[in-house]
Amino acid sequence: MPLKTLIKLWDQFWFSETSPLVVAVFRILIGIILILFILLLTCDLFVWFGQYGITSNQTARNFAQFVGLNILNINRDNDDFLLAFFTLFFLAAVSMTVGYKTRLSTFIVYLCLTSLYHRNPFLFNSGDTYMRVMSVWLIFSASGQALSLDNWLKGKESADLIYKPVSIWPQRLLQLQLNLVYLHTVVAKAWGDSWVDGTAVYYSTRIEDLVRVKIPYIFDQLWLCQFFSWGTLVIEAALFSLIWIKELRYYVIVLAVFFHLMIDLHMNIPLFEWIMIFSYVLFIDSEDLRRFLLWGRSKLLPEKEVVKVQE
Amino acid sequence: MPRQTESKKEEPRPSLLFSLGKLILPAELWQKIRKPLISFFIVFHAMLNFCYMFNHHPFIAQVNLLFHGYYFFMGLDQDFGVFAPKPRDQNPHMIAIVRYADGTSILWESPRMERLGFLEKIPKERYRKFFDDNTCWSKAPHAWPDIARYIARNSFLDESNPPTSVSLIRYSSKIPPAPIPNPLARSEEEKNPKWLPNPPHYEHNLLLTIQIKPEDLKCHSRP
Repeated sequence: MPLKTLIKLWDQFWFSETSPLVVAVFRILIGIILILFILLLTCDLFVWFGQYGITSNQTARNFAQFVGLNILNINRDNDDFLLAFFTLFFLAAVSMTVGYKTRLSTFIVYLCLTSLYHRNPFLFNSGDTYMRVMSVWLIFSASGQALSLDNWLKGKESADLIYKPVSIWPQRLLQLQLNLVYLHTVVAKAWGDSWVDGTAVYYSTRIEDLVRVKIPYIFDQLWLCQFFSWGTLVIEAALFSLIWIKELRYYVIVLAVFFHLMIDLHMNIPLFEWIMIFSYVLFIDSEDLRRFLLWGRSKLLPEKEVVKVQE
Repeated sequence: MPRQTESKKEEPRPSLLFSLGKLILPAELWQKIRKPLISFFIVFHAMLNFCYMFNHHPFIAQVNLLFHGYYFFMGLDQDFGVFAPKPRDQNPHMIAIVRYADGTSILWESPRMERLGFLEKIPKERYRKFFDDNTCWSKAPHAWPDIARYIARNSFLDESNPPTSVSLIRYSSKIPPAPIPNPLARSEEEKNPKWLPNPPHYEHNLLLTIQIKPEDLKCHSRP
């Protein structure tokens, strides 16, 4: 393939333009998850991050061996500062969700997520890691240019959800980050015997502390455990490969949503499955998403109110 | 509606990098270098992600050494090996024995998720992650002294009788092996193995015992 063609393909993939609607919807959905994440952490705020909490600042630093971005270090071991930090984090998450000073609030959200991770590295799961990394890429996106308070204040919010096109590269980064999650998990699982012989689901459903609802019969049949183990690998592989094929994309997404809902029903990993489910919106065609949102609005709002909004 | 038509004619709004670039460089120059610069940013971070997540080669390990400081500082380090390479095959919980000055002792136990109700489990999930997935095991011995002191502070109920030492103990049990039938086996048990329930947490490992100093008990009233 000539170099010129390669450059053209690169250019087309990263630098074409698209509606900001997709990243805006993603911003709102992740924002809702973030608010819940903060509220759940607030229950035991001082236990996890406080001056007299369960992990000291020094231990976190010794464990990491590297210096990490952590704005809690501005006033280390001060619980009043921690409280102020959490208030700022909450306000930034709300602000990001509604799209007020979107880029700034997304940046603050990223700073807070990274600071918490560096303050107590023993606390966070893969979903939290994913949210932290996604918040970096979201800073670069034009997510505030649709469905946002910023837009509404400037009188730019469009009733028919048609917006000025924006560069697609931040959305591509978000999409590829989602792909990377599944690529890494499949490659990592490929080394494990229990994924090869199909007993991984047998073991994972017997981890007592993870069980949310005990599902009778299904996980007590070897053939079903094997079917779900290998099925997991197939679905996860599809989520970094087949999802790029337009004709197959929505089938893959439906399958993946069902897969994550099953896990959510059986396993107590609050928010994780929902973060992944909400992320699939990044692969929905902006025109399809626009039509879906307009349809949803027409069903939720009576005709008269729609007219009012349009006026 | 006319406003829509107008707005469609406008140029696409400049991105953050564009706005930042304009501060440093003339607009024309920025337009020229915008795509190469963004491309470099993308390729650089793609390389870092690849090297961090698929680090099985010595050369890749060297690349990691070079850039890990930046990668970690920014909070970009990531691992998505959920249940990989295999799911955990043990069920653990952590207990602590707190001994007091008068010779008495109490038992402290990390939250047992399997004993909590449906709604109770949701806010306690972080305890599961902290204890059962991470600090129960030998991969995080750094955290043990802090945990012991935290438990001592929270068990300090009588000023005249302070805790003097804390021992952390992990109790665990293996999940019974998957009952895969083996038609070539001689015994009937191996040919058609039974489905066994999880046993109680029968194994115990002493993780740490530390002496508690008076300064470790400061501010025990903090929630």
